[in-house]
Amino acid sequence: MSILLDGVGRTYANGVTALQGVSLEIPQGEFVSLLGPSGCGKSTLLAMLAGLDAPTDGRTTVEGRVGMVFQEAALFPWRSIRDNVAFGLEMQGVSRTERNERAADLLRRVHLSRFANAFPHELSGGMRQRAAIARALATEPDVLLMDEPFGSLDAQTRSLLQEELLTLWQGSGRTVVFVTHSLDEALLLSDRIVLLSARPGRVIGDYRVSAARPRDPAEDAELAGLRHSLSGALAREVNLVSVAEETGNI
Amino acid sequence: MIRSTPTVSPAAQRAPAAARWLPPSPTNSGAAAAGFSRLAFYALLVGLWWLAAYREVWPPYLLPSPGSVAQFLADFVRDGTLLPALLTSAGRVLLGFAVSLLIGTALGLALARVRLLDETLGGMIVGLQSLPSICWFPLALIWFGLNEKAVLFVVVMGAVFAVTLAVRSGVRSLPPLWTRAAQVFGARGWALWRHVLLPGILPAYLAGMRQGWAFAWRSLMAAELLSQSLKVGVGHLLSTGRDLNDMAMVLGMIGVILVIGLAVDRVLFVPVELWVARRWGTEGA
Repeated sequence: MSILLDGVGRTYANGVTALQGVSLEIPQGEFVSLLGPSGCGKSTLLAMLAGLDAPTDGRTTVEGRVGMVFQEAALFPWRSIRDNVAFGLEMQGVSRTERNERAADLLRRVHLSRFANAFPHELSGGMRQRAAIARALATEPDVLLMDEPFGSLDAQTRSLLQEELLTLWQGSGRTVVFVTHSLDEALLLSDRIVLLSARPGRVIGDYRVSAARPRDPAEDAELAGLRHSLSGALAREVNLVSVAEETGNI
Repeated sequence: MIRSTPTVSPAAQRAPAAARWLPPSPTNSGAAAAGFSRLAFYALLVGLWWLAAYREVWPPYLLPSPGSVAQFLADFVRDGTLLPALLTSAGRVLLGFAVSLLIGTALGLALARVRLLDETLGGMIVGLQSLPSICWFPLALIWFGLNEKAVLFVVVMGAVFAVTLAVRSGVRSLPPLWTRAAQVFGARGWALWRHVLLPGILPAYLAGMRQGWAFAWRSLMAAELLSQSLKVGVGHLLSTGRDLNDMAMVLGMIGVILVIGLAVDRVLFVPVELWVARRWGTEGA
């Protein structure tokens, strides 16, 4: 077992309930996508797994070290790409020589070796997100949390990075919790898709995806079937959100 | 394997690693042209001044020639009056600036972190910033007497709030994402401050320092003009010029005071600010 959520709920001080009664077991090494409409508490859930937020109900258990990739790369602009990647190691007190070695290795794996000395603002969005992935992997996490990491990228860069992420993950034994609101992305990447409802977020579906990788969601029959049943459920939740927004009842 | 042809932003392609550390130079010829027109403008100004003095449009005791002002300054340097006065004023402004930085930084951090403090004291500080610092001088005279403490008080009151407000807004405008990322990767307590929060507010902090410096220097000059009996600083020399009805001395000292204020800004603050803006990528943002 890598992650255990037991009846997790989160209610904010203003009375808004973001999550309600979420229970999940995620075994080590599984790639899980959390799928749901915007504002369903996916990111709140991830923040709790990262230890950035605490549930107001229930219990979260995360085994091992956690690494995280944020929606925007969230690199530190005053640090070179190398020093950004080595940030977690630096906080652990790893020596400069060793962390530079580790950073160089990771930069090679995300194809950014040439940009080790560059600064974040000199890189494109896709390259920044690659650096953020390298930073998250640098501390050898057992659990990699990803909060819509490719949401702001153009379609081509996005599919390139999805492919690279799978290459980095496969055989690593790492648990990945990947938040997205794109059904296609979830189908392409995950072992398992957890569908969350509109606010307050609850688990309303838990699907296993067994198709072999690399996947082609347009060709594979299993994926097509899943796509069909998931898109109906997802559309209902998205509708609920827009109705709530129109009536001001969020 | 992965088909990867990383795309590079145009800025990275243009700038080789070393060039990032230099001031921006995309428009060297434009800068040179601007520099030339500026030089020509000042030359014209001095020319007009010289012409007006030469023709005695106003009598020399009202408008001495550029030559006699230069002569006066040269004499002042030679007879050893100017340098000690400069050092005295520099000592006062540096002490006042340092105290302002210490208090301003601590106060700014406190305002940024404690909401109640910000709603009460913060509002008052914003209001107080519109009070010319020399207005504190009579109060300082009664509290401390006519001495260095009174001058220091006026300088600090002039500079401290600019620093305070810059630190406050710097901390406030830090993207929460940076703090979250830092925490996920294990930055706690002092490490969080040292590696993320302080570097994060540096651009705002520098702007506040620069403004604080300008206020400190102005406040000191005002205080020196009103405190003749203290150890002689450049402000006192300006005041003495008036007492002696020596217009060359008055104009010369105005020039000296202006040049010091500008020089510290241009030589110290502008290059550091440019460097930070380039490195932080906040340039033009």
